[in-house]
Parts: sequence; structure tokens; C-alpha cells
Amino acid sequence: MRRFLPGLLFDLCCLAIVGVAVHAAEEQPAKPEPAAAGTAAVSPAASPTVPPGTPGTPDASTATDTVEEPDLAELPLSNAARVRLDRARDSIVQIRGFVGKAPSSAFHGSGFAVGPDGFIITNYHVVADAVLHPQRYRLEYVTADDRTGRLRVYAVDVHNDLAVVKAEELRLPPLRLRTDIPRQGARAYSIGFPLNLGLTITEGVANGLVASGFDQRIHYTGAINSGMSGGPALDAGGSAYGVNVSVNAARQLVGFVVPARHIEPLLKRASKPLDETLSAQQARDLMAQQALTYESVIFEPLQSATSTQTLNGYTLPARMGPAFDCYTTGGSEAERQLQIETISCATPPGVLLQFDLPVGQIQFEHRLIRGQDLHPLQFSQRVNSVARNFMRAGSERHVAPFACRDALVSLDGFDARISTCARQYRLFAGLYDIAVTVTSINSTQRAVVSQLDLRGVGFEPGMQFVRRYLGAMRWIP
Amino acid sequence: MDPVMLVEVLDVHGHVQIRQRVTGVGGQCRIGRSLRCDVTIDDPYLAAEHARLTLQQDGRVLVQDLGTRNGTRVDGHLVDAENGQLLSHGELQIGRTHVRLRTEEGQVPAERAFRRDVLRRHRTLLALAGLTLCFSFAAFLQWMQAPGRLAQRILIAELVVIAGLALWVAAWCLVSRLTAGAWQVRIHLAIAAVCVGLWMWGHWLYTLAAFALQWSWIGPFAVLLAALVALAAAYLHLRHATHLWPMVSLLLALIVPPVLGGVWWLVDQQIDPRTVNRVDPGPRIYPPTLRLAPSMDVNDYLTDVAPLKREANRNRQQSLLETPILDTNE
Repeated sequence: MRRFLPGLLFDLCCLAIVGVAVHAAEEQPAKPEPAAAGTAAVSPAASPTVPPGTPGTPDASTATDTVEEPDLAELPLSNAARVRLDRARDSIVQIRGFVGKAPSSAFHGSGFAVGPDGFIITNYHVVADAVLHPQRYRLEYVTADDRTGRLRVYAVDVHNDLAVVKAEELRLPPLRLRTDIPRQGARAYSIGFPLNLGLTITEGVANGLVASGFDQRIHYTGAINSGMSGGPALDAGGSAYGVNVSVNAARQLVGFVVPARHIEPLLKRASKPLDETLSAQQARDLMAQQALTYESVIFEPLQSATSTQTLNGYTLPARMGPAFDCYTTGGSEAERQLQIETISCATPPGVLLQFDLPVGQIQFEHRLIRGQDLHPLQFSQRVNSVARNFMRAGSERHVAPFACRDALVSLDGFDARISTCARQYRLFAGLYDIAVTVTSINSTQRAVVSQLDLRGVGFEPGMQFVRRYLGAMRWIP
Repeated sequence: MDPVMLVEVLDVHGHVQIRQRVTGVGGQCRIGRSLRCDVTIDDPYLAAEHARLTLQQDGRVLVQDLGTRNGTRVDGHLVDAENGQLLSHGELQIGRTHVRLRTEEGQVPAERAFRRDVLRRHRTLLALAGLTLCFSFAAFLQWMQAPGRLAQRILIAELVVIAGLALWVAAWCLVSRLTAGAWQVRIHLAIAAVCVGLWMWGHWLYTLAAFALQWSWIGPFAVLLAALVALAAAYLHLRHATHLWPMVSLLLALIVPPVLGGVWWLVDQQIDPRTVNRVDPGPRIYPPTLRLAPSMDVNDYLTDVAPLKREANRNRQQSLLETPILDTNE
């Protein structure tokens, strides 16, 4: 019954696809990834489907879906993939992270060379530990011909899960970037080092932009596995149209790619290694600051009128923005003489601050309870047990304990006990989790228990959202 | 007036088993295993004729050991074998037996007023009342929680209550038997049942009052009351199970509330672990008709909630102090 776990709520956990060497691949923690990804619906407002032949940005490749290397399209699939892999092989590295001087790696991912300055693009979540704990972790690259060396992080974009790394001595042939979005149905490839099995290419289809939560990702229908994070997503012409970033672990072949248009602005910021200019604490503060800027993406679309849903006389917040996915389920608990209907809404986690630390997420769940021939004391007892039956996610490694305040509060048409709790992230000052539990006390046979969770948000914007959330609740007998 | 002495043989609990009265100067009392002695004691560490007590002119008593292997002791010191020892009152150790010697020189204290020992006088009634409190609460709790198979669940709950009380009462009865020489079952049952019953109903009433009144100080007050009930139970058990002085009993009883509190804390930690994911949902709710306190305006509540930011920061600082972030591999 502990149903507020994000993974169980939507069954849409995506796997951050960095490999973790210390664990078997199948033991990697599931990530609460964008719920919208599971629906794979292209948001009308956010689906700039590029017409065929649309040119890219000036520095981008002139490659398009149809005009490049038409002979490859005629080849059997396996041959096409082999050619793409052979041509990209020298541009791709495996990125490994080590704890201190340990000889075996703690995690690994992939990266590829872009531009003439020797920069390598990968995912932020691949190198997050090295950014946040520069004294504890070191990064190394392994090229296709087994050369190795030290990597340093030059710039990160937490929001888009991208990082720029570089090794002074390493100059790899860069991949061409394609900053427009491949047409839906276009042949596409993903390359990386899955499960430490060596350089691997998978073949699939690009399915256009999808609103993956608050962000836009390119939906890739093909296999992406742990360790391929940061690897290039190639079109049929061999241009990198994006960076492998995540996969829906609960579904088959539903992968996501960060569009390549976010790479160029990041490269412009890459001038010096981060560990040369920032202390560990400053790096954490910078990451927290980047995560907080994400709030404008989370909260601003919710400023318009709040969508509500009415059940049992209670009007409650429902799909408060396009990034929300809502489900309504219901059932009778004969044993306890109760009927409980549940409305669950959630956005996918916004950004990964670390491999296992998604932040910038809104979840709420309303449980509407109706008693069946229960004494008021018995009914209130059951409402109490429902209200105490929520479970939250969070590790002692990442967050401090909650501080809570509760009171009986008068809402629109009904009174409720409201308990508000807040906790801060240990590494990231200024980032909070806010949890609100609302338990109505207006009826002896009907009640609503509503639970709101904001993960990794600023305190003030979070409390403003709480105000709107409470303001949207109403009861009409 | 002829002098008088009283020789009292005590059992291990200090109760008088044999009392022998001797009057007149030169009056004697011989103590030993022999049937010819004035006081015969079946103690294998005594000689056939072990000691002789002779009443003197001045009212005191000459204690003489009759050449025994183990000797005779007065207040722990051996009596001189040749000259004996004069004393007006005291406790003799003869073999392993304690013999109290009294003469008229010993002060007789004023009579003691009758103690209004309600517990001893009404122990049966109190035990029944306590059991009623416990059984009724167990049944009430099951009625609140389990609509199905109510009779079966009530029976199980009552059995649990009986088992718990039986263990507790049996332990005190044993202490009572060993130190005071009597089981005193009804007294210990009355103490335990009344205190447990009061505690259970009191806790429920506390949650009800916390909902109805919304007083913030009611929590600490309830903890204080629970501690006082535990203290009273421990003190009464000790007073009736031992011969300890009241102050000693009270001091020993003071240990009990913290110990019980610690046990409660440990159990609560198991039931509701204090992880970083624990939130406090606030006091339980009850039917709206039982509410007396008014509700807050939502804007006032949100203003009240603002200091949570500071508290969360404090929790973070505390967490970082307890488990610092490892920035190096050393």
C-alpha cells in the first residue's frame, strides 16, 4: 500500500545509463525518469518537427535524413551499422571514474569528441561524482585503441545533463554535430560502452522531440544500455544529433537523447578545468544554482489556472501543467469497510544532480475515502492509518531529516489537519524537499488525504506552489 | 521492680519465631540445640548448649558463650569467651540464627498511627478495577481498528494483556516472597493493573485532547504524567515487596521512568524508524464534533510554516556534523 514511491506510481522508471562498475548492471538503481516519456506523446506545443531538408545551424553538418550517403540506406542494416561504427570509432572514448587510487573503476560512461579543441562531450551524470568530490574521484578515458589518460571536467550543464571534458594530450577526430531534429522515423544509431562490453552500436529509429517532463528529449526507439550514457546518437549520415542520456527501464527500446543544439553553448563556456577554478564546495553550490534555475521551467508553466478534479464533493488539484501525468484508480477495501479512490499526479524528475539523485520534481496524490457503516471513531481511525501510510524516497547520504509543522487549518469549505515538512540537501545548500499532508476533518463518513511532495526545489518557490495547491482545494457538500 | 529481659529468635525475614521472657535478678536463659535449653533452636551451627544470658541487678544482661566452636557474636563482634559481655539490648548471632535481646532499658517509641493504606485495604477491588480498565481498553482498541473477526481479535488482545500483566506481577510477587516473606498477589496485581489501565486510557485521552484542544504543551505534559504513573507504580511495588526505607524505595523508583522511557523509545524506533524520510503527520484526527479549538486561516498557517526553512538548515548542519561529507580518500 505504500504507493507514493515514484517507481511504483507510474511504473515508468527510467534508467540513467551510466554504468556502475562496483555493481552488477542489473542492480543499478532505477531512476524516476520523465513520466511523459512513458506515454511517448509529442507535446503539440513542444514538437517542432523539422520538415525534411531544414538546414541546421551554420556550424552544423549539412547532413539531412535523405540526402546523405544514399548508398548506405540501400545497404542491409548490419552493414550500415558497421560502417557508422567504423567511421565513429576513433571519436569515441569510454570515461571511467575511480575512487582515489583504486585500480578498478567505480563507474563508467561514454563520450565523444566535438570541435577542434579536443573537447569531449558526455553526460553530467557520468562525471557528477568527480565534479562534486574532485578530491575523491578521478576520471580517465580509454580510446578505441586502448590509449588511456586523465580527464578533467571543463563545463557542465546540469539542466540538460551535459558535460564537457578534456585530456590535454588527446586529440580525437571530432564528430559532426547536427543541431536540427531528425524527422520521425529516420534511421538512427546509438554508440557507447554498455556494461563494459566494449564499443557497441545499436540501430533504431529517431521518433522526434517529446516532452520528457519539463525538458525536450529526442525519443530514440532502440537499445540504450548502462554505460552508453554520454555516447553519441548518430543519424544515417554519421552526424551526432544528440547524446544518449536515459532509457525507460520498465519498457522495451524506449530511449532518450539530449538534442545536440545544447552542446555548442556549453562548449563556449569551457575554458578552464572546473577543479582549477572552483573548490569542491563552490562546485556544489554551482550545481545547486543550476538546479535552482530549473525552477523557472518547473513552476512558470503552472502559473495559469489550476486544473482540478472533483470526487465525492472534494475539488482537488489535478493536472496542473503539461508535464503532469495523472491517474485515477479506485477500489473497495471490504476488510476495512472503506472505499478509496486515488488520484495520483506527478512530473518526471527534472535533473539528475548525481547518478542517483534526481531533483526538480512535483508529485501529489489524493486518497478519497468513504466509510461504509462505520462509527465516526472507527472512520477517523482508518483515516489516520491512511494518512500515515505514505512513504518517501531519499537517502541519508543525500538529505538531512525533515522539520515539520502541523495545525488545523480552514480551507475552502472544509477544515483539515495540514502537516508541512521541509528538509535540505546535504551537499546542496538551498535545495529543499517539501512534503505536505492534508487530512480533511469535515465529515464522519467522507475524507480526503492529500499528499504533496516537491523534490529539490527552492524553499520560497516551493511554498508558493504549496499556497496554490492548498488554494485549489474545495469541498461542496 | 524485678528486671525483665525478652529473648526473640528471628527468621530470615526478621519475623519473631520464638519469644522467651525472663524476670528477676539472676534469671537465666540458655540457648542451644539441646532440649534442656530454655530456647531450643534447630540450627546445625549451634552447640548443644551454646550461650547463656543472665539478667543482672542493673537490668542489663550478661551474654556468655559456653565454649563453642563458632562462638557468639553481638552486633557482629565475638563475645569474649571468658568474661562474656554486658548489654542492655542488641542482636546476637548464634550460629546462623539471629536472636534479638530486649530489656527495659531500651526506649519504647510512641505508638504509630494507623496508616490509611487504601491499597492494602481495598486490594481486591482495586485489582478488579485495574483489570477492567486494561481489558476494556484492549477490546476498545480492537473495535476501533478491526471490524472483521472482532471477537477473535478481542480474545487475542485480552490474552496478550493477561500475559503481560502476569509476567510483571509474577516478578514482583517473587521479590515480595523472597524479601518480605509473602506473595501479596492481589496488591501487586492491583498496582500493575491500575497503572497500566490508567496509562493506556490516559494515552488515548491525550490523543483526543491533543486533537480537540490543539494545545502545544499537552505533549510534554502527557509525558510527565506517564512518568509519574510509572514512578508511582514502581514505588508502590517496592514498598510492598521489600523492607526498604521509603526514601530508598523512592530513589530506586526514580530509575524506573527513564528505563521504561528508554524501552518505549527503542520500541518506537523499531515501529517508526527515525530515517530522513520520516515526516510527522501531527496529532491523530477524531470526528469533527469532538473538536473544540478553532481552525487557523490558511495564510496564517503558511506564515507559521516559514521558519521551517531555518529548522531545515539547522537539521542539515547537524547532519553534516554527525556525518561529514568525505572530500578526500583519507
